[in-house]
Amino acid sequence: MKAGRILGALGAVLFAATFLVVTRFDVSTDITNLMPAGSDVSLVAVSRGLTTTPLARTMILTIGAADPARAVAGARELAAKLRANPAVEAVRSGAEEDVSRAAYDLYFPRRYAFFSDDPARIPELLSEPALEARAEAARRELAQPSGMLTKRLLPEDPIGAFPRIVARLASLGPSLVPWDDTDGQLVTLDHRFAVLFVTTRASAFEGRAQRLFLADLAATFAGLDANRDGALELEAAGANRFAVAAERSIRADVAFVSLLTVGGVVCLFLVAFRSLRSLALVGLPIVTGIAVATCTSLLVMGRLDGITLGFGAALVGVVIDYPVHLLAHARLEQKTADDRSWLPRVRPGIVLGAFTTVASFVGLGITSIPGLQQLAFFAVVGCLAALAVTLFVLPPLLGAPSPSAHWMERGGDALGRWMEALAAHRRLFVPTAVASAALAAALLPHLRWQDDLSTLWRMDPSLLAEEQQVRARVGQADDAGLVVVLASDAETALARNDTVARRLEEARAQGALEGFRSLHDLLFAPSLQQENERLVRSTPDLVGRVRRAYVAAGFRPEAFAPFEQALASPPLPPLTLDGLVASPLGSLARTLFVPLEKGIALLTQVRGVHDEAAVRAALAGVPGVHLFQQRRFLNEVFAEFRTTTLSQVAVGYVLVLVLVALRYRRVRPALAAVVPSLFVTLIELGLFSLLGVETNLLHVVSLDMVAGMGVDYSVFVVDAARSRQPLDATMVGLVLCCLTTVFTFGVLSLSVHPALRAVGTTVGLGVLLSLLTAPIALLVLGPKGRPSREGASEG
Amino acid sequence: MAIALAPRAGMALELDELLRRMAATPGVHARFHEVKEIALLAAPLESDGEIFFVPPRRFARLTSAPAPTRFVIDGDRLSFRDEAGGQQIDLARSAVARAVADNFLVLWNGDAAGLAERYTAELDSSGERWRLVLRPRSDRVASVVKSVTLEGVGARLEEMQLLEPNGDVTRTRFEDVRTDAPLTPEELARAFGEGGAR
Repeated sequence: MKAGRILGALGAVLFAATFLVVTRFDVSTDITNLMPAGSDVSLVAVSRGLTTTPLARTMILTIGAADPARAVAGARELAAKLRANPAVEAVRSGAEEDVSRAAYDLYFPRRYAFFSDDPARIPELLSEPALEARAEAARRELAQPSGMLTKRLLPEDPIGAFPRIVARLASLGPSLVPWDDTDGQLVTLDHRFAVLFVTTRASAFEGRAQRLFLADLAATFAGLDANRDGALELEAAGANRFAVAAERSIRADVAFVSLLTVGGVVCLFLVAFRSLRSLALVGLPIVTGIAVATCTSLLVMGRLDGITLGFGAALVGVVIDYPVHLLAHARLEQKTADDRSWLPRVRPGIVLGAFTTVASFVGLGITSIPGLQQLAFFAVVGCLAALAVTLFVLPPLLGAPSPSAHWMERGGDALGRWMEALAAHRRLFVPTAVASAALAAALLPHLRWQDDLSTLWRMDPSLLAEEQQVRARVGQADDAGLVVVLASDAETALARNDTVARRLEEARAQGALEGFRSLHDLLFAPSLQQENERLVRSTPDLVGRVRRAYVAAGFRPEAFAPFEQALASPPLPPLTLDGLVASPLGSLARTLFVPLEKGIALLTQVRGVHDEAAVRAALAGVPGVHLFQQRRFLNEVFAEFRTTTLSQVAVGYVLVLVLVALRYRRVRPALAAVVPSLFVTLIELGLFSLLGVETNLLHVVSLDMVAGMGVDYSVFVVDAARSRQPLDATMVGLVLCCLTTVFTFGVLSLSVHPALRAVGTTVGLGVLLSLLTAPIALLVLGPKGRPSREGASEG
Repeated sequence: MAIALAPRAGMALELDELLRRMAATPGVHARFHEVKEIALLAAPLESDGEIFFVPPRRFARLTSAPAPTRFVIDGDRLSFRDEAGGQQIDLARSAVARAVADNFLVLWNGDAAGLAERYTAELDSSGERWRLVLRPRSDRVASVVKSVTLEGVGARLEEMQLLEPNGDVTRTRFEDVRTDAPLTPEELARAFGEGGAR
């Protein structure tokens, strides 16, 4: 009856927590949470914005066939079907001529405003010798087959302003051509592949939406390919393919790992406790802990960060030791259904174990990084909730003692005696332990830290090869860095961007980089446009100079009347960013800026940087300008997060030491509770160093888990020893704790994904080492603190 | 080598036959003299030079006067080098420029389907002498080219006249036309630059 009421109350709590979580669940993945408070987060906002720009949502599809004409026809049909797909925002299949026309419509009336990005050169560009050279060049162009294009523009633009704009725009588009003059379908320069640019509505990283879209795309293509006897070949590039492949791969991996976990734990509990009820009891504190931590975090913080939820839930997994420890003692020491005489002896160890874990989590949170604070809060709340369930909910639910298991008693006896024997062999054990720790410490400086996030996930090599091949076909490099210009308003940003473009051009001329793609090629700052207009129109006797230069080159003087009229007409207002975005060229512009909450970031894509120092030097002194590489930036953030986490683990150890010192009020037990765990941390890092394992943030967070469990193991041993009790039940509990953890976390080491493997290896190895180093606690306690079999018989 | 082009009953057959024989040439080399009558210019613009064609899609037009220039279609790449001080430019992005350039190829590469897709064609022939008038089907090309008239004897092109919508006209007279032998390595290198003899 009492158990029923308790279960009812717990059920009500879990129901309320579930309701709260369902109604208020809001998980973000904001890496600003991983940066120290007060950091300049503008670049983080840029980094975040880059994942949602149309460029990041755009796939490149190439369709090939033995007969290119069939590929073009297939691409045309695929484009039509994709345009009808509600998941697709836009399909660009042949906008080349539209862009040319749009460029003419937008820039030709403003050709003087965009005459030169260096107005100081305008007098020279419009000097009589320059115009004479221009006229001679125009005459030579007229003699060429392409001269008919020149001829159409020349009467209104004899100074060659529009060709200068066209030359700038040419650097922005992909290296593609129309199939022919009757079909604007874009094809690669070698005419072998038709090309489509498909922009999805959903972010590339929205797993479900992208999974559905890619399935749709595959089915659509398969249909039209079947109609052409399988003659077509589709290849694609896009971030969404990697996101979906990673998700699919992790799902498969997790399914495999979960199967091993469930199978292992079920077998373990059936063997150890001969009931699955015990398994449910062990799970209760963890489930409650995570549920309470989730809804408390939502109530306190309003939302949860994805990393907080993931790592926090893993850290709360540490509490599995408490119910397992409790059940092991019940299994071996409970005589009747109501016998709880063993509980007062076990409870202090569990409480201390939980509080040492809480202390280590608090240590993790004493930092200015919001993500770590949230992670610590989540783990502390979860741990305390799980402790409360272990202490107050589980005991009434234990029920009658299980049938006797002699093997378990014998195993416990053997383990207890083994521990005591090891503790008695100080001369052998102490030098071995100290030498191992010393060796591990010596290896620490050689530890290889890996903060490159891309190494955390296994990328499908064939997907990567296809990506690179497709991007190469359309002339897109995927190693582009960015120059980011930050400003509070577009006008200021554009002015800075003009300066950046000039300086990058100088750096390019000196060989520091191969090229760049800038919004500057589409848009000058209004002030620069006005300066251009003013200088061109105020050039003394410009009409006369033009006429004389061209007449000297054999042109009729009256041919340039349209130029005279254009100069006399009032200039248009400067082109603005909004105006550009609203034009048909907006799709080109939208990939080159990111609106921010407070201001704007303009992006210049740089490629082939040979001398980064020279590029940085070229950009020096321009306010709000950063040379930015998304991958490097994120890696730096995570490296900082990893370093801070590592130092906070050390802080956690100090807090744990203080706590156990307060609890035991003696040095030896306090050290006995902490030293084995420190050994494990040292030895594990030493092993990683020795084996050349590249360690990362996930190893560090996992080490914190291991430390929490290791301290728990030591506390259980120290408490049992101090009570002068044999270690039989405690050791059985530790072995079960260890095996449960190996099955729940250790099996992750079988994952194909480096990230999951890091967690599995660290935790699996760590808990095994924690079990093996548990005798160190007895050694530190000294002979007076040893357990006593005589005491057991007395007790 | 003179190639006979016998008049046939149907124009399509005659055109097919012309194209087949033109396409059968292993290479073309000729000198040209071109006169452009352009409204912008006070006097006609004259130029001299050579043309080279290697089937199926390599073409070069080199001028020697009034200034050295090189216009090349090599496969799907087009370039123009103004050796009087200009620089190489990629014309491949311009559909119109491509269409104009294709005028040079459409006849020699014997692509009857391509010709029919791009132009309406009228062929008059008398014995081996023929006159082919091409009018672009595409509005975009028609905005810059009204018609192209080609005249020749057998597989030998003798004159090309390009008429623009504004009345400007370009007349190109070909001389020393050689259609019966592949281009020599020296000619290929001269036409297409280093590595051109592939």
